Amino acid sequence: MIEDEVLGVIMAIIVVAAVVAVTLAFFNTGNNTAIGLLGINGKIGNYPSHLVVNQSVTLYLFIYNHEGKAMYYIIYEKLGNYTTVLNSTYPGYNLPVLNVYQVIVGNDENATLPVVIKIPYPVIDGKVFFILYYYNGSEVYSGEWLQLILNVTE
Amino acid sequence: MRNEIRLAVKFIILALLLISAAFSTVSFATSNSQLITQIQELYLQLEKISESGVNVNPQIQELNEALQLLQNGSNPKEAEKLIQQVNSSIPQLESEASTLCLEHQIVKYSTITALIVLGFLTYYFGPRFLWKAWIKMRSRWVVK
Repeated sequence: MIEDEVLGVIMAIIVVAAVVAVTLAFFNTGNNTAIGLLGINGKIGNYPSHLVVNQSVTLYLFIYNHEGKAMYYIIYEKLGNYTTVLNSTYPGYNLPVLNVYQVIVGNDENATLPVVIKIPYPVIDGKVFFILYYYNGSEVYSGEWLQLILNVTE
Repeated sequence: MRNEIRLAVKFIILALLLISAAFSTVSFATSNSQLITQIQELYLQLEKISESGVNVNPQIQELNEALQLLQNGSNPKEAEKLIQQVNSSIPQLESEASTLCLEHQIVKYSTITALIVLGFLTYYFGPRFLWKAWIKMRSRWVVK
């Protein structure tokens, strides 16, 4: 016969396994897209903080698709100032667009896009935003964005 | 008088050249945006096909390649070729998708039918089998 203590441990393991299984089944946070801004060398770090008007600098945008299907991404590069704040529902509708990039990424694949920052006028504490949309018949804001703060002088 | 005519002709030629250059730029931009619209339509078609389980990764990669070529402005002809290539592969992918869809339906309904039949079999033959096994296991028991 199985002793009570052993039976207790077995029951506890079954209960914990059941709770974990139910949690994973109901709170599946599997589908997502990760974006990251890489510096001049294509690695994290070495971000410019000061540019001259019309100076071009190339950075890299890393996109990882874990949405469970191929995704068509549209990235808007916009310019804001120090007080501009974006969030998951507000993508900065009125901000001037500097560039638009489009890329299709397969499921569980990633892409590294070169992005060019070139600002035609002086800005103090400006914010360059990279705002991620996806296309599914129309452009939909993903709620994800990146920002780089920099000064642009004459 | 001749000089004025020559000057006027030169001016007209220059104006025509400028106008044709402007029109060619506009038509280039228009064709580029048309191609991007075509890519978007093809992407939607491929996405729908992939839902049935067909592997569309090669076509997705080709579309992305075409998209990058158009954005760079480096080789629109090559981009157009890639788009046409993907476009021509759509009918075959669609037929694969419908076949796979039919297979999935057959597997789904067969599984449901098998489970129901198994349930009935267990209900009717389960107790009989269980008691036969019980008796067999205790067939050597001796009552003292």
